[in-house]
Formats: sequence, structure tokens, C-alpha cells
Amino acid sequence: MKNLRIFLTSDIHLGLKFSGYPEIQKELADARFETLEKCVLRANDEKCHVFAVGGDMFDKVTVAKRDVIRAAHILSEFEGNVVAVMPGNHDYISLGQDDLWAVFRQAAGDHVLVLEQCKVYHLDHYDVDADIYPAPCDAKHSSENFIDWVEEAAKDESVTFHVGMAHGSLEGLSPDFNRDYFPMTESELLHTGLDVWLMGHTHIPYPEKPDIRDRVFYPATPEPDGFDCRHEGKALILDIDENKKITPLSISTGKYRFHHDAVRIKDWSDVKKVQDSYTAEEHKKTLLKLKLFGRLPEEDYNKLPQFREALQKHLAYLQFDETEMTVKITADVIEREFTQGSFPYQLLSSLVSANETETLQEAYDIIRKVRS
Amino acid sequence: MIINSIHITVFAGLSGRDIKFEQGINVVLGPNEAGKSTIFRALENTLFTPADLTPSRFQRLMGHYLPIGGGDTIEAMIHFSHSGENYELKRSWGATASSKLTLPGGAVITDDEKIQVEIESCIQVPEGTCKNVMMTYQSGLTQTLDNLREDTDTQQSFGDLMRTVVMEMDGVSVDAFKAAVEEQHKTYTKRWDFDAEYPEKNRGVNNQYKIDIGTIVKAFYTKEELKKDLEDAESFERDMDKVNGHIREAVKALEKNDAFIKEHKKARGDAEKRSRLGAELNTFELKIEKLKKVNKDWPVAEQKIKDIEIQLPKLEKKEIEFTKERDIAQKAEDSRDLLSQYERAKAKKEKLEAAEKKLKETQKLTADDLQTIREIAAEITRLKTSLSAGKLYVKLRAKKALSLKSQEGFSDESAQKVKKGKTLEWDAEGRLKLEHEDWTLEASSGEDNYKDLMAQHEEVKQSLEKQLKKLKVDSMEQAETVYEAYARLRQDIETAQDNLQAELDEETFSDLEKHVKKIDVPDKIRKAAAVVEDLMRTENEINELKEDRDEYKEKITGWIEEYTDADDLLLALAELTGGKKKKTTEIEGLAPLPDGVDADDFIEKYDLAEEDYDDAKDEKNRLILEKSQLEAEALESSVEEYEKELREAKDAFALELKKGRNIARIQDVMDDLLDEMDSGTYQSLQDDVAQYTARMTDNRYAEIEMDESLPAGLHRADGEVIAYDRLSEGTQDVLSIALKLAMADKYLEDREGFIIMDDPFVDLDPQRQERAAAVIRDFAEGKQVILFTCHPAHAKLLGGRTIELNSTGKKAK
Repeated sequence: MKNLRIFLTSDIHLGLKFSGYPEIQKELADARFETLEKCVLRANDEKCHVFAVGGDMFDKVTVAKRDVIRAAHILSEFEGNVVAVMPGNHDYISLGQDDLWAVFRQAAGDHVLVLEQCKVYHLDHYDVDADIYPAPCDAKHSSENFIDWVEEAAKDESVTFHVGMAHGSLEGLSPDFNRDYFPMTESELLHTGLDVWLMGHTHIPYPEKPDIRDRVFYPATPEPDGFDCRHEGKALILDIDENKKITPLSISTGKYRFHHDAVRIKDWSDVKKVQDSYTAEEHKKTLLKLKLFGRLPEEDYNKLPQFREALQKHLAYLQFDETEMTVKITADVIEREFTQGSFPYQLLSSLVSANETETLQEAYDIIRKVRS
Repeated sequence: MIINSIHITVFAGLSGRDIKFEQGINVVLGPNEAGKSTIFRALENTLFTPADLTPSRFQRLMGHYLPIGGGDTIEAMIHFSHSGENYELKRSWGATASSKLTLPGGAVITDDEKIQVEIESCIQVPEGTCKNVMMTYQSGLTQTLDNLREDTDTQQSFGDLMRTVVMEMDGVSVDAFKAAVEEQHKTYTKRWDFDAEYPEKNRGVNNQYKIDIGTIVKAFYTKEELKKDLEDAESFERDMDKVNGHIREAVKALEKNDAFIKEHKKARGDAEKRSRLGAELNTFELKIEKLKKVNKDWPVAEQKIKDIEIQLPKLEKKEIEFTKERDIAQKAEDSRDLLSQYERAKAKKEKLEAAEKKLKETQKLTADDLQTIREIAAEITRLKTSLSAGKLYVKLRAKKALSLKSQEGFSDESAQKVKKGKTLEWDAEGRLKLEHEDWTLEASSGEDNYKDLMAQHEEVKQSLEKQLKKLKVDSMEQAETVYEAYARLRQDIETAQDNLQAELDEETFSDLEKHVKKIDVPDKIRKAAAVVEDLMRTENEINELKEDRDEYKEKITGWIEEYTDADDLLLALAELTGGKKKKTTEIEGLAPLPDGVDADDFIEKYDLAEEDYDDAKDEKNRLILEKSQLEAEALESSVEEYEKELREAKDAFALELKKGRNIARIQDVMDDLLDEMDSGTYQSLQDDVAQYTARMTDNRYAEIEMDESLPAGLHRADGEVIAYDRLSEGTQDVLSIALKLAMADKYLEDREGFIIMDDPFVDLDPQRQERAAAVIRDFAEGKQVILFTCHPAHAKLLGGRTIELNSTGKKAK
């Protein structure tokens, strides 16, 4: 085998509920399956030999059986040699038990391999000249990783490619304050002497710009799963030649994007810019958390609902925070609109003097509401 | 500002209209739909509505003034003056939007903001005030009064009324605002305790209010529930980790034991066999050993018997000899003993005889003798004691030399020579006798029987002397000594006698002597002890040999019984050897045991492993059941999802809290404001209104009720206080006019300016109309009043400039 072509993904978290997005909950949950399908199709197009899932394919061990079966069927469509799926810390393997992996194995095809033990998996059975050295997770948390065995394991020199797979935090990359997500260091991984490490757990791609010198790869999640996931869905195609040179190719996957934006508004043109930006075609599948803050003249302020509506119609989901948008209520505005000495005049003037802009906005809104 | 004219190019239904106004009263007279309100709006918007409007604002503010028949432009122009200077203001809205203010000097301003600044400086009141007080058409004043008219439940003081009117000038009812704020406040803060930063009455998430809660409490519960869910999810994951960990351990134990069991199953199966075969083999070996021994011992035993049979007679012969020798030796021993005894007895006898001889030669003084002497001596002593009991002291002084004898007590006499003048003293015991040649003095202690005692003493003393003499001793001491010697000799004799008796025992010395003479002992014999020793040894030997012989015989008998003969024994041995080999081969064919372990230990270990396996299996099953029970309680989402939701919920809660605080702040500001704005603030306004009212009602209502504690009302001239709500519509209109004029006075003060009124006389009776007209005319001096009416009579009443409009809105010709 002259080269080994691997499609690497991880952290798909099938079974995520998205309860915080009731309007689009089903679509977001389904999108993850669609993205997995997309990955398989892309892997087929790219003629990959191995489709590797570096952990957390499922969001939890109690994921619905139908989801497990659906995932198994999707992966069975891979046309390459073998699918290697490793349990991560969310879908950890439960030794000696009938767990989701038992269901998965039953539903998956013959060329789908579940890497559930710390042992060498020989892929020659699948006509792949490679051995895989997995460190599957057996719990949600662990202060120790399971890669120790790899260094001591005998490496069959007749096998061309030696591939490691692990799931957990990487020092310097993943936040792991309590060090209970199977913590690892890059040097530990490289010390094992393997040709490449296919990783999972961290949802951002690593290295950010992979090149031929890298040996440790986190593909990132292929489908973003929340507003703290600012990047688009990503996966990696790794081409390893017989000299062990790795050519990584980062590909975009993912149906939805999560955007988080906070914009200071000075006038309506700023609002217009935001609207133009997010009503572009590329944002049809964007979930946007938008906060505007600033002051607008009343007539512009009154147009905010329309602005919101326009975004809502275009975007997949909008969380709009306009609480810090206020009408530009100044002493001049008050003079123009209200009679000196009148109650609203005095109330609003008092709040303007105290520079209480939000309270001022609130009071102004009520005044407008009750004004005959 | 005084408005001089308005030219309406196109404004709603009016077009090409020029209307001139003067200082003072201007009455725009026209029937309904003649355009009066349109003219008013044209005036208002030209003055205050900028041309540069966003489409939506244009639509909202000016859209309904677009010409009905079509057209996209609205246009009007006003000429006005201020402080004698003339201005021109032209506005165009719609497709062609522009504003142009021509200043008195000819300078032009087209910027809406700058135009507004100029206009405000000309109007001299803020835009809002102008629009809401001076320019109200369907005025806020009227609206306020209308509201009061309708509100029959509220009886306000006139001060409150004034306050209400001023405060609600902009059409914002304080009560409505207050209610709206309270409504909002309630919506946000219901059941929330700001001080505690918690739901009221400590009703946290575990004891929630179910109904009637504000958005803050709702958001709080949502947040707290998510916090709980998160904790539960974390707890669930921890428990899952724990139970999975235990399952892992159980599985490992299971696998370990399973591996051991699988590896050694055959060995276990064979181990019992091995154990049994081992035992059998052991038996064979023991039997073989036994047979070998028998085989070895049998001939030996036979030979031993033979040897014993040979040895035995010799020893028996020796035994007889030793027995004889022993007897002789014993006899000799006995003789020797006798002889010794005789010698000893003889010696003792001699000793006795010597002691007896010595006694004879010793002076005899028996114990009785001694006792007699002692008794006599004791008596003497007793008597002396009696006599000595009384002491005498005698003193004698010799007047001349003399010789005398003295005897004190029982002592001997003593002679003394005494010189002249010498004194002699005696301290005698019981008696003193002085004897002179010429006299004798005898003194005694006075005892009556002294003489008797003296006689007895003498007698006893003589008796003692006699006894001593008899015993041939001189003194008692000597008697004691003699007695001791005598007694010692007696004792020696007794001892010698005892010794002799002990030696002789029951025999006499003469009998013993006789026996000794009969002894006949041979020479050269061994001592009996030595002979006996030999004899005993020989006997022992014989006995041992016999025992051995018997033992061997018994053994041989047993062997014969068991094996018949040696040949058969050998056959049996051969059989056993064969059997052993077979067993050994069988054992070698079994599965081997682990190193260093014997079969029994291995069986125990294996069985324990099986037990452990079962235990581990049970434990695993139990843990799996525990895990599935735990899974049944699993929450919908993972920890990560709950964390995200919680973050959102916290933000939402913070937002609601902020809104709630804002509303609370509005309430505080409002309350402070209302407290400040008491009715006293509007006293001057009240006075003006009262004046105007009095004028228009011909003093019928001369006073306005001042005391806020009493129901509101006007004081009628007859003293009756009429509550406001019971005022007639006409009187209420009077009040409305009075208010308008008083408010205008308040804001304009002495400055020029204009007010717009709308059909103020509608409900007034003719007299009041006249009076009201007069009041308005007075007001209009130095100012401008633009009054809209559809009643020609009112126009006539007011006088001033009348601008007539027909139904088309055109000026009537």
C-alpha cells in the first residue's frame, strides 16, 4: 500500500437535544445526522481507505436506540475499506455490558469496526496495511489517559502504517481545569512512535493550519453545536504516504453556523449594515445571537421590530437582544415633544439628568403607550 | 410669534389657499368639513414638522395629508413675525422635501434642525409646550377635563385638578401612567424580594410559586431549575462513572477468574483424580514398604530366635549360680552385721559402766536436797524482807568519848569508838541495837511481831546451817555446784543406757554374745550387693531375650497368617510393585498442576476462583441493574448542554432583573415627582383660572375650592360648593376656557404669542358667551388668538378678523 488516506472526524454528538432552541430543535438535531452523511459521501468521493471517528459520535451513552441504528446505517454507506469508530468520553464503552455499542455493532456493516479495547487492531483483514492503536474512553471523566499501553505494544514492522486514536484534552489546547478529561500532552503522543494520532474531544481544529510537519490532529466537530462554537463544521482528510509524510486537507462540513455578534449602533446605517450582512445568502443556515446597543432617534428605533422580523425571516434562528438599544431621548427631544411642567416632561427630564438611559427608554415606552 | 398668514399650496384637501391673520382675535369660520382642522394642521406641521423625514416617518406624520386625488407632495408656507421682524417659513414634504426659513435680513436657512432652533426662539416656549398648550385643537386640556367629567368616582380638589391638568397636558394620564408602571412592575417583580434577591417568603425552586409570578421570579426559577438539572446531570455522570468503574472492576475480576478457570479446567478435572490416584499410589508404596520390611525382617527374626535359643540356657545356668552365691553372701552379710552390732553394744556397755562408777564417787546432792536448801533460803529471805520493811534513822551525838557495839537489822554486831562531840548516824532496816557497857538501846520499826520474826529467822537460819552441814557443803552456792555435777553424771548414765538399749533392741547383751559365738563365715566371698547385681542383670538378660524371642515368634506367626510363607510374600510384593507402576503411569497422564502447588491446594484455589467468578458475575449483574436503574433516571440533556442553557438562563434572568430595577426606579422617580408636585405648586394658575372663571360666570363661581381635603368644586356665589363633576357642561366649558387662557398666560407671560382655540362657546349660554368673548378679547390684546368655529354668532361676538371658509375650504367670497 503506497499511501493511506483517512477521513477523520469526531465529536458529532448525535442525540444532542438542543432544548434551548425550541423553534429549530428538530432541524438542529437532524443536521448532525445529515452532516455525518455528508462526511461519508465526501469520504467516498475522495476515495478514502479509512473513515475514522475519533470519539463522541454520540452525545451520551443513553442516546436513543433509533439514533444509534441510524448512525450505523449511515456509516455502513462508506465505500472505503473500513470504518473505525472509537468511543469517546460522552459515548464511552461500558465493558462487559450491553451498551449502545452492542446495538451499533449489530446494526453496522461488516466493515465497521468499533475500537473498544486498548489493543492493536490489525486492518489487514480489511485490506488496509495499517494497525490502529486506540485508547477508547471507558468513562465520562478520568484523570488518566489510556495511551501508556501504546508505547509498550509491539509494533509489527511488516505493517506499513501505525495509527493511533485517542480522545481527551491536549495540554495547551483544551480547557481542562480539573484535569479529568483523559489529559494528554503532545510529547506523550509523539513518544509512542506512531505515524499519526487521530484525536477527538476538542471541538476546534488543531492544528489551526495543519501542514506536513504535524502528527497530531483534532479535526473539530463537523457540525457546530452552540454559540460557543464559532467556527464552521470541519473535518480532515489525511493522506499518508509510504515515507510517512502526511498531507492534511481541511474540509468544511456542517449545515448550520452559530454566530454571536454585538454591534454598537450610532445611527440607522449601522443597523442597515447589520441587516445587509446577515440577510446575505450565506446566512440562510445561520443561528445568530445578536445584541445591538446604542441610541437611535425615535423613528429609527421604532423600525427595530421590522429589522428583527427581516432577520428572523432570513436566518435559521435569531436571538435578538435590543435591551441596550434606546431612543435618543435628549432634553431637546423632551422639549419638543412634551409640555414644560407636564408629568412626562418632568419625569423624563429627571431621568435624562441622571443619565439613566435604559430607565429613560423604559419610561418613554410606557408614556408612549398610555398617551392618548 | 404672531402668525401673519399661511399659504397652503397643497395640504390634504386644501390647495392654493391663502389665509391672513392679524394680531388679536382671528376667527376662522366655516361649516364642518370646510377645512378648519386642515388649516390648523397645516399651521402646526409647517411650524414643527421637518421636511427631511424617513419614508416611515413621513407616512406616519404626513401621510394622511397627501392629496386625496393623488400627488406625492405636501406644501405650505407661513409668514410670521417676532418682535416686529418678519419671517417666511416654507415646507415641502414627500417627493420633494425641503424646508426654507427666510430670516428678516433675507438670510435663508434650509436645515431643519437650525430652522427649529429659530422657530423655538420666536415662539419663546418649547415646541412641546406650544403644541400641547397653545396649539391644541382637540386639546389635552379638554381631554383631561372630559376624563374628569366621566370619572364620577373621583372627587378632586381644585388644586388637584390644576395639578392634573398641567401634568396631563400632553395627554399622558398620570393615573394611567402610574397604573401602567405598576402593571409593568407587577409583571416583572411580582413575588420577587429585591432586598433578599430571592423570591418572597423564601420560596425557592424547591417550593415554587405556581401561579401569579413576575418575569423575574419566572426567570429565576428557570435558572434555578437548570442549575438543579445541571447538578443532577453532574451527579448522574459521577454516579455513572462510579458504577461503570465498579462494573469495570467486576468485569476485570470476572475475566481474570474466567481466564484462570478456562486455563485450568482440565487440570481441575484431573486434580481430584490425581488426588485419588495419589492416595492410592501412596497406599501401594506403604504396602510395598511394609512388605519389603517384612521380607527383610522375617529371616532376621527367625535367626534371632535361634540365637536366643542358644544363648538362653547359658544364661539360665549362670542365673542359678548367682542365686546360690547370693544366698551365701547374704548369710555372710548377716553375720558380719551381727558381729558389728556386738562390738558396738560392748562399747556402749563399757561406757555405761564407767559413768556409773564415776557417780558413785561423786558427792551426792539430789534435786530434793537442793530444793530443801532453796526453800529454807527463800524463807530466810522472806523474813529478812519483813524485818527490813521498816527503816530506822538514828542519830547519836557523843558528849563524851565512848565505845559501843551496834547491830543493824540482822547484820552482825560491830564495835565502834566514838570521840567526844562526834555524831553517829544509823539508817537501819527494821532494827537497831546499840550496846554500851552501861546501857543497851534497841530500836525497831514498830512491827508487832518483830521478835517473832526475829526468832523465826534465827530458827530458819539454823536449819539451813544444819542442812548444809548434812550435805557437806558450806553454802547454797556450793550446794548448787555439787548438785549440777551430780545431775550431769546422772544424765550421762541415762544416755549410755539408752544407747545400749538402742543397739541391743529387744535382745539382751548376753543373748547377743551367745549368737556371736555361733557364727561360722567362710573367707573370700563377694559382697552380696555385687552378687545380686550380677544376678539381676542376668535375669534381665534372660527376660529380654525371652521377650524378644516371643516377639519375633509373634511376628512370624502374624506374617505366616498374612503371607503364608516367604514366597507368597514375594509374590504379593511383585503385585504391589506392578500396581504402583500402573498408578504412576496414570498420574503422569493427567493434566499438570501449576508449579509449586499440590493437588489439594490447587483444587481449593480453583474452587475459590469459581466462587469468585460467580460472585463477580452476580456483582456485575447487580451493578448493571443498578446502572440501568440509574439510566432510567437520566436527564434529557448532557452536562454540557445544561451548562449552555444555564448560561442563557442566567443572562435572561439578569436581563429581567435589570428591567425590574428600571421599572422600580421609574416608580421611585414618579413617586418623588408626585410628592414634589403638590397642588400648592399651581396656586397662581389656580388663581388665574378662578379669576377667569369668575369673570365668565359673572362671579357666580367666585372661588375655587382650595382645601384639598374637601371635595372639589366651585364656590357658587350663594356659598354652595359644587363639585366639579356636578358642574354643568357650560360651566365646565368656562373652566376649559379659563384653563386655556391661564395656561397661556403662565407660559407666555407678557410676551407676544398666539393661542389656538376650537369652538369654545358651544355649551355656553348667551350671557356667558359674551363674557367669555370679552375675556378672550382681553387676552388677545398684545397677543394673537386664532379661534375656529362653525358658529357665525360666535365669530360676531368675538369680533376681530373673521376668515370665512365655505364647505370647499375656500374663503367665502
